[in-house]
Formats: sequence, structure tokens, C-alpha cells
Amino acid sequence: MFFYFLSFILGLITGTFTGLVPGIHTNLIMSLLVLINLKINTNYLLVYSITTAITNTFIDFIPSVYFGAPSEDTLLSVSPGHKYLLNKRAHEAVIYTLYGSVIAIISLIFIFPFFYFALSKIYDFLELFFPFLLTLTILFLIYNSKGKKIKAFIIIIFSSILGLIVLNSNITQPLLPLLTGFFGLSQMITSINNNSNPPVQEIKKIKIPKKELISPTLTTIFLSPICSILPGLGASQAATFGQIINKNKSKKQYLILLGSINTLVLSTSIFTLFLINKKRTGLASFISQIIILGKEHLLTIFLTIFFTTIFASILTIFLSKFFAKNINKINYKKLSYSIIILIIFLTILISKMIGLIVLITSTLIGLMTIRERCNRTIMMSSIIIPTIINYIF
Amino acid sequence: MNLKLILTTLFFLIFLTTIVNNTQELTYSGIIKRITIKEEVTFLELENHNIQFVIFTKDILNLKIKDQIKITGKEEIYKGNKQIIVNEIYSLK
Repeated sequence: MFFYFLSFILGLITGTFTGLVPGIHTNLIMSLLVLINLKINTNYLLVYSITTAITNTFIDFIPSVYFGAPSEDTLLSVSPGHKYLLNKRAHEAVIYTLYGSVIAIISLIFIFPFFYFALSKIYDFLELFFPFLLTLTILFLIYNSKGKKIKAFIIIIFSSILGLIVLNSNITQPLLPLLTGFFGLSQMITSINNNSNPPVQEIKKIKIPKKELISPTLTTIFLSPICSILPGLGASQAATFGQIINKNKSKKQYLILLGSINTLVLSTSIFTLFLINKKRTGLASFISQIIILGKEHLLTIFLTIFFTTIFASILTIFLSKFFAKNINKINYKKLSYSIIILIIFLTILISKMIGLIVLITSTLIGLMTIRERCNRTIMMSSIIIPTIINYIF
Repeated sequence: MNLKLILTTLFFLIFLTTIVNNTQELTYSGIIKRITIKEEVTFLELENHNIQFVIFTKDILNLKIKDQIKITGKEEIYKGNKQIIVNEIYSLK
């Protein structure tokens, strides 16, 4: 029991670290764990990895809102979150995403029975439509880039070529340099250049009418399972679709939606692994490398998710208040430079020098996307296009 | 669009393609020590190689223990252990 507790606490600490430090994703920690090959009870690793990943989805909105440094999963939150920051209400924005994350965990109770009884039975049938659905997704991402369709198309071509090269190579942990460059390093370089001084923040009590929670909850319950079943799609694509569906909703509801989708896509990916043995997130991929999930693990998984939700919520509120009070005391530029050096070091350590070349290339594409103000989810074509090709041939 | 950025990206894509094509596959050769077939997967072990070779088929074309073979494949990590996912096997008899 003590070691379960220890794994849980370490997971909370790691998830908080990866959530707070822009550019460091939980996938990086999982890659390191695989590399180190710890010879410890796999159940402890299971608790640790789930706690880390779920905590990360709660916390990673904080740098996104306070510093404009989003991760791959929170990138769509920059705009509304930043508006709250400029209006001295960043804490409020973080609390809305927290509402979303908690809603996601509650929604899991409703989604799980469907997953458990239906998914393995209908998956083979659904799989026939995957290439078609993924192609539609790409077309939709281009169509959604209003006024920048040609630019989006060029970026999709570059991303897809890079994805095809990287995913068909023997690079160790190829997604690490690929996604870190696209979503982490490129954003950090941009943030360093856009040196901004946010105003001192106010902390107020926040109340949300229940009816404002209905629409984001339903959208999440509808979209998250789809994006956690379809290969190549994740929280960012689900959020893009959610953005379209909730076009006329308030900024508040949009932030709730982002929080819920981010957490629910991750949570359902554990069950996608358990039921149909498909790895749709970095967490699922890591778990598949350490353990073969069975019914005997379900209680551990649910309890871990439940307790993580409680403690990660408390941590998010505490840290958001801390940043609201101390935002002007943090030297973001220095922090960013240190993280960039750390990312380069870890990439060379895990994926060798060839990984560094992938990191540079994906960072260039990421910079191009930010510069042209295109939706950054289009870079996920680097995974979607190779997946389509894999299905067709 | 920024032409410099496009050209630099193109340069790195070409550079990466060249490197990947030259380091694509790993090759091993040796004598088969053990063959294990589980459902649709065959696991091979070679003498002098402390690594498992995985073939996603149960039909391994008359290969048997003590055969000398050459294998090309990609390295992957499964449950913390390195494995080679076999693409091609050549008999060296």
C-alpha cells in the first residue's frame, strides 16, 4: 500500500512539473522511463503514469493562460485564456478549465459502460471507415483555415512528409522530437520574442450557472470517445471540432470545453488500450510497454483517476492563485532558455543526433504555422497522413 | 509566406530523408537458437545475440533450429526490452 501511495505522490509531482513547464510533455517523461527500464512492480508504474498524465491535463492550462505558452493539447486555449489574462482574470480562466477537467472525469462514468460493452464488438466495423474519416478530418482542417487555405495546405504537406520520414525510420521514440518541435519548442521561441508584461491579476470567487455546463459536457461526451478511438486524432483535434460546434457559446464555456476534452481524451485512451489494444496517447503507449491490461487493473485505474482528480484540482487552484499573485516576479525568458537547452539535451539522449535533426525540422514547421497564424492542429497531419497510408496500403 | 523559412525547412527535410535512408534498417545474422510461436506471432532467438526477433506471422517458411539466417528489421521496445520487428529473413544455407 505504501508504494502505491508513493507512486501516486510522485505522479502528482511529475504531472505538476510537466504541466507547469512549457515544452516538457508527459510523453517525454514516459520516454525516459522506457529508456531507464525500471525493474519495479508494474502496478506502481501504472499508478504513477496515470497520475502523472491526468495531473498534467489539469495543470497545463496554467502556463498556457499566464504565459501564453501552450502545450500541444492546450494550444487552442491561448486566445481566450490570454484575453482573461489581459483583463486581470487569468485565475478565472484556469478555474473554468478546471471545471472542464472535473466534468470530464464525471463523464467517464457514463462513457465507460458504452466502451466496455460496445467498443470491442463494433471496432472492426468502424475501422473500415477510418481512412475515410481521417481524410475528411484533413480536408476539414484545410477548410477551417479561412483565408489561409493555401498556407495551411503547404504546412500540411511539410508536416506529412516529415511524419512519413520519421514514422518509417528506426529513430528511438520518434514522436518525442516530432511533437516537441511542432508544439513545444516553436511556441517557446515565439514567446521569448513576444516579451510581454501581463498586468497584476485579481482573484475573485467564481460561480458558474449549471446550465452553462450542459453544452460543453455534451460536446465532450460526443467528441472525446471518437477522437480517442480514431488513430492520429487527439485532444487538439477534438477541441477544434468542439470549437466549431460551440461557435456561438461564451468564452467561459469554450474554456470549460477545452479542459474537459483534454482530460477525457486521455482518460478514455486507457480504456481504448484495455478493450481493443490500441495506443492512442503517449500514456496508452507507455502502459502497453510495461503491462498487459486486464480486468484486474480496472479498480486500480478508476481509484487512481478518482484520487488524482481530487488532488490535482486542489493543486490547480493553489498554483493558479500563486501565479496570479507572483506573475511579475517570474523571469519567463530565462525559464524558457533553460527549458530549450533541457529539451535539446533530452532529445539527443533519447533519440540521438537524428532526433535533433527531426526536432529542428519540426520546430521550423511549427514556427511557420505560428507566423502564418494557422491553426496548429494542422501539424497533426504528420501522424494522420501516415496512418491513412498505412490503412490503404 | 516566409521564403527563407520554407527553403530552410525543405533543406532539413531532404537532409533528414538522406540520413534516414542510410540508417533505415538493422541487420543481424546468426544461427537460430529457439523458435516460439504464439497465436499469430513468431519469436526467434539467435545464438550470440541477446535480443528477441519478432515476426508477425506463424508461417516462417521452413525455418528450423540451427539454420543460419540473416535478418533485417527495426528496433522497438516492448515491456522495457529491446526487440527487433523483422521485415525480411534470408537463409544463409
